[in-house]
Amino acid sequence: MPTHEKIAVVAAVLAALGYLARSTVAKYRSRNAGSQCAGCGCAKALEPAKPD
Amino acid sequence: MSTAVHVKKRAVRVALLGNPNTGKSTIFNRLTGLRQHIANYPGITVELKSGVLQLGGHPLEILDLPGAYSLAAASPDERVVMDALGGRGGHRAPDLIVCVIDATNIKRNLLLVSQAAELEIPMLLVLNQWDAAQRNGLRINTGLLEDRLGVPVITTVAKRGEGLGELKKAIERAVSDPRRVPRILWPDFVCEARDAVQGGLAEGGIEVTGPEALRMIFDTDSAFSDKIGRRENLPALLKAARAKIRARGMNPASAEPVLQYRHIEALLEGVIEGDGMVARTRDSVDALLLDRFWGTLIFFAVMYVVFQSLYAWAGPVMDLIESGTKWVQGLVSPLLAGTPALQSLVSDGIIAGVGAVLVFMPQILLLFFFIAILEDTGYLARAAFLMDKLFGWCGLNGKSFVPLLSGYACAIPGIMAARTLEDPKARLTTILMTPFMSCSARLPVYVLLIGAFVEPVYGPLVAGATLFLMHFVGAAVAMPMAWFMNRCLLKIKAQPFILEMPDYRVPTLRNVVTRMWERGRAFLVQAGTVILAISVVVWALLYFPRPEEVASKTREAFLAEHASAMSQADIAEELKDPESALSLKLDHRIGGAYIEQSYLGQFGKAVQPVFDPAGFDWKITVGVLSSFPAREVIIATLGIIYNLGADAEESDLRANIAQEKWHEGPRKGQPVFTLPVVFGLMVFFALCMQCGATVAVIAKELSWKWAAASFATMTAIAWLAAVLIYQIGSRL
Repeated sequence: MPTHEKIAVVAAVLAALGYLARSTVAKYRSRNAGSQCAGCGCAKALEPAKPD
Repeated sequence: MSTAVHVKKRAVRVALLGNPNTGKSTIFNRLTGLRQHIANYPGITVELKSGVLQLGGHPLEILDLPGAYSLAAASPDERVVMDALGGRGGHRAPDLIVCVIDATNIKRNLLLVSQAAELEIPMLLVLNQWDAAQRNGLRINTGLLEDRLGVPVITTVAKRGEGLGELKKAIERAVSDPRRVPRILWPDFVCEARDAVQGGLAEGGIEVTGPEALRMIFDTDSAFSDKIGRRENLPALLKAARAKIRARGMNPASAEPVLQYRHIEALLEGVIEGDGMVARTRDSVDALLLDRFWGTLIFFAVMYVVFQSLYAWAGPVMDLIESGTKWVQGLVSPLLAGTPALQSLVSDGIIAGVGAVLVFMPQILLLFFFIAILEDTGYLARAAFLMDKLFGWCGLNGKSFVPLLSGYACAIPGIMAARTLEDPKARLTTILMTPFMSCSARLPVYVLLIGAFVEPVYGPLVAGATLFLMHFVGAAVAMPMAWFMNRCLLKIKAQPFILEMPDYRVPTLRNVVTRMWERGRAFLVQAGTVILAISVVVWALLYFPRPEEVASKTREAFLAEHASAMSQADIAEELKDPESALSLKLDHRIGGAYIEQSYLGQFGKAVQPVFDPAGFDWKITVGVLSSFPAREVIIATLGIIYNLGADAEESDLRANIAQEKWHEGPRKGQPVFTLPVVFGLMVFFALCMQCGATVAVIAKELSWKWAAASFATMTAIAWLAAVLIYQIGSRL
């Protein structure tokens, strides 16, 4: 496999892994885990108001 | 578009307060331009929502509070209301309360208004659903009501945006000229009881307001008492205060509504006139829809029509999307011909993976079209009531059926909606049962398998009926489990179910389109982010390692296999043409050999023995394991597996899985997807907790311990059910 192709594939895989890791951490750290709902578009309905 | 908005700290804060299902969220959406989920049944808003309304160049913060029948604050969502109004829990008290009242039921709605008047916050009244009141033949003298209450009264039909302009002007006027609803004049014995509690607590250094002292006396499970904590003298103070009320012949638990309604009746004298003919018509329709026999029959007939239509109508659009995916594959693939790995990544990984999932977009949109129609007409509230009649035996609290029905769209709002349950044990059971309801993410899995295996054999009618039945598998397992938990472990006492039946309404196009758009968008976002990323990772794990000798060995074996039927020269000639049948067959054979020895192939084969009793091969095993973060991922994974290498020369996933055969072991040469395997796999998906977001939200609402227990139990039940189905089914 030529080097430029290798770099492109590795970059794509790393980007995908990075995205998954970031979204997983965000999901479990969120004080409102429901806002990560991927199911039905209910995410907006679950976002709480920010207290003062 | 923003959903939660940071506003300057001192912006005027306006709270929308009202009973459940009076249209607060519709008004909130209209005022702020946000799109909070709304439906024609109570309990949709369970948390605070805030947005901004620009009035005369000044931003006003609008708070949408959960619906509450009173300020007694027994359930978690009612406590949210009390905290927001009382300026506790990190909130600042609002500067203005906009009380949204159902114009068809003013008397009952005014109880909350009268209680809120005790807080002495300026107020404004909105009589919403004004059109329904008129249809019901009610004549309401708003001028007289305004005089009696001393605050502006605005009439609106929020779902059509009528009266919203007047409401904005009234809010603007109320901010500059605040007016308050007069407080109820409590009889002397109530005032004495209140003063005794206030004074007694003050001696211990605790300052509470008069209304707070009253709430502690009237409410047996008071949010205020909780806030104060356990003080030695508090129980004695409350006991003495309640004794004062009892001495006057009144039950302290019911004294407040009795006295409040006397006050409200005096306020409403001469304000409302009408014959209620429409209400009687509604009652007769309800008598049919809520009847244990006819109502149940109608419910199942409605559901059958929904799933049958879902199956039949989506077909042509699915074919169109499938053709679109192939067209894009055909377009992009030649552009990357010089770089085979990149070509495979884009064509076999990204396009095949994401495309396989996108094919199910029409079903998702149709499902939410029907859900929006059923919600908007008011039928889902009747269905919840009917469920209570049918499944009361399993000990589920009547209020549980609203969250459980919501779970059919998505478990997460269902779990959140369980906050409306006062009893913590009933709330626990409801939260744990909700993920069993067949959410929309399971739909693509059912449709793929039913389309590939049931429809070709039994026809579209049976296929639609199978889809319909699959949606009850989860409930069929959840109800006996709920019975066991409620009756044997938690010993929950039966509680009466009070659910306000909303009026029947014609669904609004805006609401239906919004529901479809929001879900469609979420589905596209999911496909374009999580599924795309997982597709790239799954592709890499299936593509590598890629040693040359695998291709050469497979080629040799292939040539040897065909040597007896064709001459070497003919084979060589045919293989010169890359599009010839023999070349394509060889390519697929090499592709199959590569994925067998890929990282994921080796892993799948190592784990496959766990799922072997259910008849799953290593490819299904990999699909099942990859779909634990989100169910739809199995479609993407299978799409990639069968694009990279399959026995069949088809590019259609349904055709590919239908032709898949065992390559080794005692079942070599037999089809992998037999009916017992297909049904076992569907039931596995019906019962398994394959949703990271649901696990996270259970952990948030209960604890990580319960989330882990729920995950482990559901996965074990799913595995067991799949094994039983396969073992019994394959012996029949």
